[in-house]
Amino acid sequence: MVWLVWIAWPSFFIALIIGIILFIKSKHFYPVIYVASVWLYIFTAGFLIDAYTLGRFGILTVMIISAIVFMALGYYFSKIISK
Amino acid sequence: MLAKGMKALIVVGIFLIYMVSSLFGLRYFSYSSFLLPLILIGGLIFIFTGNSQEKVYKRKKPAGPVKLQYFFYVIGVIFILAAIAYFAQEFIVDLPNIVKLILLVCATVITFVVAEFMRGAEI
Repeated sequence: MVWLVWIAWPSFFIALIIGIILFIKSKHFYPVIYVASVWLYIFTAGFLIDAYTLGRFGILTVMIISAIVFMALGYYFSKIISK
Repeated sequence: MLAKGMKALIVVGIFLIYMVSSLFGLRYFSYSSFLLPLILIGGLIFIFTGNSQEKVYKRKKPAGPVKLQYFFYVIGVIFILAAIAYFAQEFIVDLPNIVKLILLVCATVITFVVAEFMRGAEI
């Protein structure tokens, strides 16, 4: 885990701060869990790239899949919220 | 009376002058001196005090009871995070990479599903 540590810890503290702010603003706990799941996803993607030392094509594939996943989630939430 | 933003800019300016002068090795400014904490502490006091003649447009709400439960929630969450980190360090670190990857994917999915249920229950 050469560079994963440099992504995991800063992103963890950023997610923690965002979670605290969301909790204070919304007075609900579920946004914090959403932030935790996003951070876990970022960590999983970084772990996949770092542990298996993916090449350029592998890293690009992971990033494209991540983009598709998050766009789909955004579309899903837009449908839920509009109802 | 200066606005808080102006005060903050003044403090940042003093801090930058201090850092630049220490880079050029000026005699009276150095990293090892006590000036840096003084600038930071003095700057924070300068920014957040004063302005006693602020215009009040809204009536301030009276302070309610101290919400001590949030302090204990925070301690509980810190303990949860520490327990997960310790569990990962002691039990997960020696597993093969594929097992770790599967566990991470499962944890991500489970966390998202839990968040969905909590949103439905408005927790």
